[in-house]
Amino acid sequence: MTKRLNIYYLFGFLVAVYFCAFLSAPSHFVIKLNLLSKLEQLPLLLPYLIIWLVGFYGYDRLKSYGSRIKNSSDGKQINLIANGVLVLALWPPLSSILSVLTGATLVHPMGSTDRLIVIDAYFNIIWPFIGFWFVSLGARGLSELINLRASFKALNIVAAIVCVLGVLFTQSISYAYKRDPSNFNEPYWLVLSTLVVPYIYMWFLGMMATYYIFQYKRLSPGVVYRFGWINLSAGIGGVLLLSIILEFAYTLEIKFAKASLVSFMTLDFIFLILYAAAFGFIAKGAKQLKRIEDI
Amino acid sequence: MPRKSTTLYGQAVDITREYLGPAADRFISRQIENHLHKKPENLKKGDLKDLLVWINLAMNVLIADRSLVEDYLQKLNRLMQ
Repeated sequence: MTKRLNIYYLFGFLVAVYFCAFLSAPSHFVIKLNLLSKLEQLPLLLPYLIIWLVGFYGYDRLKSYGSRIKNSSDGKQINLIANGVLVLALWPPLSSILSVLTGATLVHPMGSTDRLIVIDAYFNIIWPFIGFWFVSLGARGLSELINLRASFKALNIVAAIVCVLGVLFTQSISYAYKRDPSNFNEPYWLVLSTLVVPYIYMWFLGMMATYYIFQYKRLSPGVVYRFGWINLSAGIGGVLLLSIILEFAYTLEIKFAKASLVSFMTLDFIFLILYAAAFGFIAKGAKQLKRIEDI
Repeated sequence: MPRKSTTLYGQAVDITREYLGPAADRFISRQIENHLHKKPENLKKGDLKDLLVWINLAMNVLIADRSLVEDYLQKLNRLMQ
């Protein structure tokens, strides 16, 4: 119970840090909505806080279920996945705080040409990578519990999708680099090896983890148990796939295509709502599964 | 191919696994320990009647599909014979 409460303390702490950073940063660094004062902009932040909170709630429910069965073979894997979910739930608030602190735009760090954007860019690779790593470890562990081996067809589909995404991403980065190398502050080979390669690898991990989790939902024994996994797998798969789409869309649309602020914020908001919905599914599925353990 | 259990408790878990998957062992252990106040491995045929009452109650909370619960209870009932 105390540990679970700590998560909400952490949420409160992050909100406080974000508001302090938001109010103390020079306004032109915080947001480009110059028509509104900072105080007038505060209510605009509320939906974001709610979305962050849903992420924490999703983690909290999953961790609660994982803790309940921590000594069992599936419990160990659930706890690994829960750790990954926590990292991914922390990603939007930490990313936003970092954005304000490093002088990027308000809602996502990919909108500034400032030199400090390098910190943002690497944070947005390393942080979700940790989350993907934990989730993929847990997903792989679950698949081993049911002796699942990825089919030849599935491996080919995942490989093909990752190849296509990778080529599109590399092409877009190359175009953006040629147009304005100052956006990157790095030689091209370094951009490719430290930005593009980790992203593509992360997407591969995320897609394989999604595949394993959906297969576990489909093939694990127990009619009632599988029913609980419908929401949980949709939630975890949704978080992973939306993270991939978010990374791809932000990198391309915001940083390189110079989208307008309104379209940027609309896109950001829609994705974050979907992201929160995925965490909501995680919470619902974890609650259903925990009910089996509570009764 | 999983081995068939020889103990009554193991047989009950095997049947339950069809419905609760990896949670089956934990579920049956809990019902025996909490309601019959004995160790799962000490489950006897004479305890099954009481156990079925508790399992029936628990499954009705977990599943809305009554036919599924009936099917499960019927299989457990056969252990009494």
